[in-house]
Amino acid sequence: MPGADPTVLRIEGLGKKFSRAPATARVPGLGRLLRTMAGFAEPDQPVELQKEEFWALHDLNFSLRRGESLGIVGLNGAGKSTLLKIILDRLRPDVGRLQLSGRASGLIELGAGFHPEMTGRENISANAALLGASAEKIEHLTPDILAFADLGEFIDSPVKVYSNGMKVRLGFAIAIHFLSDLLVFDEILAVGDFEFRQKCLHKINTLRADHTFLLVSHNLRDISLFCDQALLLHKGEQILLGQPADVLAAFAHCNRHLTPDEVRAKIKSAPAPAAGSADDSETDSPAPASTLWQYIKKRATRPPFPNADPAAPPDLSPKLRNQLFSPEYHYAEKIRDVSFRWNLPRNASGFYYLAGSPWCAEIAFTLLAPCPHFRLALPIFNRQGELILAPDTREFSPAASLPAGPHRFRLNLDPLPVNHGTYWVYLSIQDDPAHVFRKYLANFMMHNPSQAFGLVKTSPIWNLTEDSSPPGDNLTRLL
Amino acid sequence: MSTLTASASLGDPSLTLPQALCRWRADLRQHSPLIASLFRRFYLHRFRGSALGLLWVFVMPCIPLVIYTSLQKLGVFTSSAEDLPRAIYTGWGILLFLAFAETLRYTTGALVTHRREILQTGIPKIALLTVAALQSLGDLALRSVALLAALFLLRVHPSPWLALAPLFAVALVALAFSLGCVFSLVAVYYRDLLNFLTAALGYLFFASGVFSIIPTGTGNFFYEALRLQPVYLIIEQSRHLCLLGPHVLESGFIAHPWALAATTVLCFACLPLAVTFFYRGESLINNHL
Repeated sequence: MPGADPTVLRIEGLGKKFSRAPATARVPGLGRLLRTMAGFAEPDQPVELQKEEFWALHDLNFSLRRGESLGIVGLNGAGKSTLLKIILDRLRPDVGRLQLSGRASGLIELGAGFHPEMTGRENISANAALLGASAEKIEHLTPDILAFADLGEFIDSPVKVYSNGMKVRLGFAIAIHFLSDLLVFDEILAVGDFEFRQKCLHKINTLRADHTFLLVSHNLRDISLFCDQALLLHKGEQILLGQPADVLAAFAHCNRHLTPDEVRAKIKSAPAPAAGSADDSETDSPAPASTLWQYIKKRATRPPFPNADPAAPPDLSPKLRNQLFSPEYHYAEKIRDVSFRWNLPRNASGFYYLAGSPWCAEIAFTLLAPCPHFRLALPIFNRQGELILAPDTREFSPAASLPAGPHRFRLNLDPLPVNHGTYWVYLSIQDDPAHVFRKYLANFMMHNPSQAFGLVKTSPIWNLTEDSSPPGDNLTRLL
Repeated sequence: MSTLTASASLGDPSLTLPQALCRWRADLRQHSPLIASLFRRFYLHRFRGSALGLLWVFVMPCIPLVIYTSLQKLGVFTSSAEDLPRAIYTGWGILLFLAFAETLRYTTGALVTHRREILQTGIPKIALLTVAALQSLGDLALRSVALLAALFLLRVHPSPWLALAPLFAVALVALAFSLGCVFSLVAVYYRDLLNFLTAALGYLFFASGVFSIIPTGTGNFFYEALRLQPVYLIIEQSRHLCLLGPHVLESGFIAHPWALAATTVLCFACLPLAVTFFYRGESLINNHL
């Protein structure tokens, strides 16, 4: 409608109190209920905290326009879920005002709304009815939901036998097919497997332009890639609302022992981490904030695929390997005919690379659909799983949109300045942030006759001069 | 555009009875697919895993029926209407009383039982209460068929007033639903109410004319008060009206057939009032669920 207010959600001065001793709130609560039922107007509740009360949310102010996505980050207990519950009308605010244009729906809890005794198929009908869908619409969309959830024969089994991942598949499939004006997701993709996660990301990507999203996630990469804005909450207070990169950088300063004011002061005084470092991280599980950047660093150096090398780093336990490694992936609806070649020579033990020689690779593929956020990368890892180099088309063109059809990329690299050892190369093609294709390509041995310590091998030139004069102003005295 | 303000957490005491009824009608209309789905879900799945399954609907009234009919045969209880077989006399009472008691129990516990769903999915509370009442009506319908079969098998020839029996039964369900609307909100604050209700309904079972009438003319205030309670009035009077005919009402212990009509109307009249109370207070309870 021309001229219509595009604001979907507006929150002004919103606050929510909880009591640490709910039993003491019973008597006044019941009294208030009986008076209200009898029709007596209740005086406004005091805004000040009463005994044993605390602010779960305090003085939140933000708005969200149609087509925008807001990511909410914060430590456990920051008030993220409470905020979502208020937006979804599960809880009422104690102060402030919330205006929602249209209907909000989403997944805020794992398995929410599923009846354990009912089958997945029956739960689709029940949940769709809950979202206000008519019987005809439910019937019409059920095949699509079944295809998206891809639960196979389990769809006719009771939900109580489902794994957490299966519940999420079903819940997300329902939510994404019965769309509302505002879609709210609370950390629900964390339990889905890699393939389903990619499917969800593709779906969200297609819906982003026309729908408004509110996303709570500990996966900072999701926030940075999906959201136009991000909101940092700490102990119920709004610390920062702004660009995801800024907010994620500020998030690093959150610590549960700090008050909101202390966090604000710390953000103000401390230099922010280098831009883009959060963006490049890939955190798949909650990170303790105090070690956030160490965590991001660890995740950024993710090791190769599990099937990459039979002689994988011995210091990784199988559990850690499974946790860190990503499986190979192929989104058949978007890409086919992927081929690769490089200029490395091969001997009996595999590919090898002679130090100082240029490195080039060629990748060809056919896109079956346009990729509005195309990205291709060839990450190279060392034996310890550390990311050595990741040549990425994003450096070449930050927001490359690639049409459907055959494409060929050629990569020319300067001589790799890496030390002697074996290296693993991967190919990652994305419609950012979702993967379209991801595969281990090969490994190669770096032959570097003059070995040195460290990851990087350069050609240093040392000059020895005899100078017996005492240290002058141009040298800093160390001893 | 929906707006939630801080005052919304104070409930809506200014909601009038017509507004509440309009809202109820709109809610029932809007959520009819949901209510149908929930009804199927709750009704068909409540006995899942049990060997008897839906037969429990018949077994539950049969247990007291067998026990108390046996006791009556032994002379522990005396039947008030010798014209009726004991099983029919008691069965009628049990059927109506269970319709009342189960509706009251289900509706009172509906919000507490489904608190997780309310908070997780935002399911409309009135839909849960309505489904609870529909469950009782479903049981009532099944048991009524069984009672009609018993009438046929025992060759009891009911009066034409039997056609009004569903009206009396639904009146009791309406009364229980009305009480349940209010109690369900209170139970969120004090779940003790659910236990208290179970005990109270146990006692009421014996004081609602299921097995025999409450003696008249004793001068006992407690007995007189019990005789005035609507559950007793409807069970006792409808049994005689529907099974034996209005002449029993006029000549027997019932004061007047209008008492039955007035009680029935009163039961239905409670409904809009209770729904108004419910809508006024429902927004207060989420924080306490």
